[in-house]
Amino acid sequence: MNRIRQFIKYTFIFYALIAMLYWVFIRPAHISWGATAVEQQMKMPADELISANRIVSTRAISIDASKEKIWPWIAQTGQNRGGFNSYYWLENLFAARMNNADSIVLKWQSPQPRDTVYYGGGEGYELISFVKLNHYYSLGGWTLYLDSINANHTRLIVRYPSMEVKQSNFAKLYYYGLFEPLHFIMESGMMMGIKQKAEEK
Amino acid sequence: MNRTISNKTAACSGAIIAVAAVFAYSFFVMLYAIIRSSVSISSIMPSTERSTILWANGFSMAYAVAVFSLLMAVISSIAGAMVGIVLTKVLRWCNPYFYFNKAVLISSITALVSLLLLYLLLYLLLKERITFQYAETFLFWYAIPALIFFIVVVISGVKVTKQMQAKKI
Repeated sequence: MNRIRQFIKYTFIFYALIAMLYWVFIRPAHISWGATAVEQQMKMPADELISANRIVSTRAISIDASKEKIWPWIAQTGQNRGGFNSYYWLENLFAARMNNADSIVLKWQSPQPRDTVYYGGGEGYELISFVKLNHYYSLGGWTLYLDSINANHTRLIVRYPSMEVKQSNFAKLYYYGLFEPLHFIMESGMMMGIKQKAEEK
Repeated sequence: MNRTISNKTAACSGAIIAVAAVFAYSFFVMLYAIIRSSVSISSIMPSTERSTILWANGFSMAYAVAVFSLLMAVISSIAGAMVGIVLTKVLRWCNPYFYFNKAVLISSITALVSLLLLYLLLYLLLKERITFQYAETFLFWYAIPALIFFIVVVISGVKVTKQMQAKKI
């Protein structure tokens, strides 16, 4: 039993170390992963929907493809559409019933404001708030924005407002403890997934 | 000499073993998730931009798993304490002469019945959210934890039997 107690003790120490490193080095970096200062400050179509009680992240990635090649993958975003292009195996651990489409599907290519987009299997959804062909796609306040560098290079900039966290301690605990790191993993996975698919085709 | 293992001792031991099992499993999950996602990242990102995202992804994954496993450890410690008490009592009643094979059999049956009850409870709480549609879901939530639980209960049963035997002598 002593060995088991020691194992638990060292696990606590290890977890505390991970938490410390995460808070000191990782979180400040992932909140704006890949985004320049200008991109972090730029106005996005759904910014008006973001209330003051939210934590806002802006992340960006360079894609070696034109906006037109990237857009179809963004247009079909959603669990009830072509998936989120992220780590489906991680999403499915939480019963999201996620399938990432390997091809562009025509019937999902015309997203419209107020279309329903599911995050997981049958629950957790958001309405499309703003959409502009080859330009941006917003689910509530979450925006995927395409910014052309030149004909074959594009920046995908993603702004995400958290849930309302600043007024409730329970929400803070849930958000900072679990949701935020997981969301970063899934969102960066999505951005890289879109990059991979757009550069392949 | 006290010949029995008290309920408090059984509950504490059960809770501690359950917490240790959750932590051990969390290391396995952490390693699996970090390796699988890192392989994926490495195949997509150019080498010049790879290191930041690999570190950020790895530590975020480890941090999330750590927090989740702490929550699971609290819940599992309650289940562990209950199973600890039940296992000790059943072994005392059904195996008064401390036979090894009988201890394994009784512990196995206790583990299986406990698993059945736990899953029934999970089903009542989660209903259709429980899905075996994907191999990942089945393995992560059910198959591997059930296997760990079964092994831990059988080993604990044998150890408890040996302890009771030693106390009787």
